[in-house]
Amino acid sequence: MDVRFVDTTFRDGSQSHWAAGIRIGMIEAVAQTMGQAGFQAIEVPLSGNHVKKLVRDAKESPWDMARMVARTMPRTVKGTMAGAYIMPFEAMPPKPLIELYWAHLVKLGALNRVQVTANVTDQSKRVFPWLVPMFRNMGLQIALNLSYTISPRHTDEYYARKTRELIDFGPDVVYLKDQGGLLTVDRARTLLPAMLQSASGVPVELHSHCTTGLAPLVYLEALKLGIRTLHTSVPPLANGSGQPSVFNVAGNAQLMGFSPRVDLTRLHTVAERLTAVAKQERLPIGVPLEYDAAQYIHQVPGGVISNLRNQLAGMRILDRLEEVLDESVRVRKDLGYPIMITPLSQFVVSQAAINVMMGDRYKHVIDEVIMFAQGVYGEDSGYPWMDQNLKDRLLGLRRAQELVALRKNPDISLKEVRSRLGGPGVSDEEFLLRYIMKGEAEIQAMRAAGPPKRYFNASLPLLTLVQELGKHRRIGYVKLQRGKDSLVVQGRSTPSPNSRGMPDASEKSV
Amino acid sequence: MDVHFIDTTFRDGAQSLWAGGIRTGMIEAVADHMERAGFDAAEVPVGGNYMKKLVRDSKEDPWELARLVARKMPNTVKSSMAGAHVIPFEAPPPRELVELFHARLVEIGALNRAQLTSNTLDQTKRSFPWIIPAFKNLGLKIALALSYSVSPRHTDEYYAQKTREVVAFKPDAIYLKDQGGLLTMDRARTLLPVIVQNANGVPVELHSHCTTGLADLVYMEAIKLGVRTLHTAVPPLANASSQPSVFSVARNARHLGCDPKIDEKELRPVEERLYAIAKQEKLPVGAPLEYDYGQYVHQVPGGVISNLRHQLHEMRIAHRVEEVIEESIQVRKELGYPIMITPHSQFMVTQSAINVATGQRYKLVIDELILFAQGVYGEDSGYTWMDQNLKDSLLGMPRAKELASRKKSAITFKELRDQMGGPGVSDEEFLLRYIMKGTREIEAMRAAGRPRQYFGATMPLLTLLRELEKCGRVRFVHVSRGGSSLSIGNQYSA
Repeated sequence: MDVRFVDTTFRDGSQSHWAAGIRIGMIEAVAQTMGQAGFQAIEVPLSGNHVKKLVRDAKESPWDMARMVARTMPRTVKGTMAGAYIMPFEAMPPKPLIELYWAHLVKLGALNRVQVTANVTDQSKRVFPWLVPMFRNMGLQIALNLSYTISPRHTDEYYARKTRELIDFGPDVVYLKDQGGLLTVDRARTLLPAMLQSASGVPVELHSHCTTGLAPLVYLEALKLGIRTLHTSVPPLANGSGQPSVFNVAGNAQLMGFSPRVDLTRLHTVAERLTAVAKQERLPIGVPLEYDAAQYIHQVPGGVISNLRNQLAGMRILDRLEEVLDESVRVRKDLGYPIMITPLSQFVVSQAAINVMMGDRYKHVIDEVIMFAQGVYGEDSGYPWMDQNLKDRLLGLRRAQELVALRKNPDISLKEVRSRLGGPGVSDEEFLLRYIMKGEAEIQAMRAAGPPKRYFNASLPLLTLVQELGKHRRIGYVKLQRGKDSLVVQGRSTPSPNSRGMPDASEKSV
Repeated sequence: MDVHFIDTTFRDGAQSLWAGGIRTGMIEAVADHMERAGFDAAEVPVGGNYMKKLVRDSKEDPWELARLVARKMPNTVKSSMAGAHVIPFEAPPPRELVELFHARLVEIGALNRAQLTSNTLDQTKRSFPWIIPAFKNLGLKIALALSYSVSPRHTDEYYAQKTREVVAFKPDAIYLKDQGGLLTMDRARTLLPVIVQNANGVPVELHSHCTTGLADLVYMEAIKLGVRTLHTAVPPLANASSQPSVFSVARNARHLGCDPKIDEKELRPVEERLYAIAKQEKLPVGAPLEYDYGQYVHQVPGGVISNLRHQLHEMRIAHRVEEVIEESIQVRKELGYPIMITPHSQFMVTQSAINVATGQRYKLVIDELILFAQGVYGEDSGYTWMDQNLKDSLLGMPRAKELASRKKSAITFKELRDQMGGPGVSDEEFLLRYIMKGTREIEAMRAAGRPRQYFGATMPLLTLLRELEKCGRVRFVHVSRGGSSLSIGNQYSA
């Protein structure tokens, strides 16, 4: 029985381990090999948040990134997280702007599949009716995902019903997205069959994280239960809080009698190069973690905890971290069990921190929690299940009316945004980039930084050799000979071969 | 609900990750804290095989190690693997010798609990009837281990029956010893309740290894199923093919609502110091491993595989290791599913290598396999479930008769003592000579001088002096508190 793989190395792997800090040259160094490895799809870091990070921190152009992945992996299905946004969690831009962004990536040949989350803020009701047809018109494959969480309302029946809702949009694939790595073998045994059954033949994929150490085991259970496509990464961007390693999952699947449709021999080269890149740039290397039961108690994502730690340290109450985590369990319950995923997890934790600090619960309330009570984040957020006393209190606050009034702002049009960011003389790419970066300052800094940093690459053997030679002044030249052909590469900064009486001038010099 | 801990750092931790290479000074550097951490028992490396390793490789005196743990951990129940032997898997010595060895350890105060494996070599029939009373007379606590294995004959019913058998010896504890780290959640859910029930009130402990990455999780399930004592190690000697980390197990147990009876604060300095020692001596540091389904397919222990690789390399067939492992699955089945543990695992893998190398199965047979067919290793080995054709063919070999007719001229205690220097030799020296098969390596050990010391909070001044020696640029150190002050000049400074 075949098992297929969706590779997450460049997107979720980099996001989980390198704070999304993967550069164009790092991907370019391995992309061709990745493209030949037989993946069902490969995630590429092209949604707005990755783009912003690339411009701001790496000073590299995302459009170069897009062209590079289109060129080096022409026959691979390239996927990324997408939705009714360019920057997730920012106010929704005009629809034509959203369309322009994704259509441009498609036109460049950089994007063939969109992965869209369905059940966090009522996406399936609010945006899917226009978004999914729009993506389909662009010729994109549609992978709709359900975010996994543990709560009294997120039962197997809930996921079965949600799966049926998604199937109505005619996706190519649906998948369970276990962003917290919380899925256990036991829960997989009831949940995955319920989803498979409700998917009526649409392929179901599994996307988990190794945060609790369980994902490699859960993936194998998923295979036994009928899942045929798994999301994995190539080390060093596997394990840790990222996806399981493709080597580990394929190796174990093979021993269980499955046929993994992936070329591991090719991927060993990728793992070696990315490990060398990690060492060169002192970037973390993913390793398996110990089982961590705490994840099940508070369900606060690792990124949110490290952020919270910083905030509490700033407020000089870092010693109260455990209290805040305990309080966040109660706040989540009060709010009707939102899924602990961005942006909802941040709301829960921020309010919990304030409750602990004030010593009085909900005495001071953040705007987002009031908006939560107003239903701004949809039924998915959990607000209909909210504690009624808390809801009444929040809706009765004066600030609640102010927030309603603020939302009455008229929608801005594409034309307005465009004229604000330079008008008609500006290309689509430049305009979109200015929109993402909120102006030109950082784009200019990016351009000033010059071409993207290159990493060694099998497709540029000569360049790599010349660069390496530059580092070793004691090597005068390198001579390669096969039969009658020979090649001499001479270090410019060292004495020439002839001056040392070595190869004669009739040989070709490079 | 209380959860108790048996620490394996110095024994199984060091064996799994440092090939048993823990030195006296390493234990000395952390023993004070270990003593105060509240373990139900702590394993110490005072079995014959550890002593041999210590003399041979570290050139340190195992009796000094024994005295050290007695002195530094007076109130801790100190435990070690034991049995009717001094060195496991050697020909059994006279009973008096086994008794003398263990009595010496008890007298020194280095041993309070003996952990005995029960189901690999018919121990319950052959040696328990005398060794358990002998150990009880010495005042030792008795912990009887059932080795876990996956095979058609090692059913829950098998373990139920074995548990009843070992409980009849009235042990202080029994434990499931999962040397391969193979126990899964699913199997734990059927197997552990059966053992707990048949233990009839005798406490049941769990001892597993992190080889497949499951042990942490299985320990949590075990707590839910009624196991109250878990075997753990302190990092860096936890994880990988060793026991789960005491920190991780205690923290997770707390999240389950249990009360771990352990003081993790005492153990943090232990962890820090052992990490520093590992770094200083370039010893491996245990880390969690990825889930490895391969372990379930062949069940060949990691140590045996690395040994096999070496042997095949010598035979210039290193590339056939996969074939040999495949063959060992078949051989194990034909032998009646022996537990994949020393010495059985070695027999199986060696015979498999020969089958592959000669291209013909069982054309050439190792003596141990013929002995196996003759029942020398007892019913536990699996010989009564052996493939009948193979058994007949092995028993019909001329070599089988030679092996059967070999007279077992058992040496007496007196003869042995005479061989090793006679009555003028102390018990300790005699036992050491017996373990080392002579005096040569003992002399080399003595010539090597005192054990290497590692920093310890108990020797702050000595540690300071040593560090000063390394830093010539520091001329003096001056410490003052209130009216008292202390000055140390550095004689190494320029």
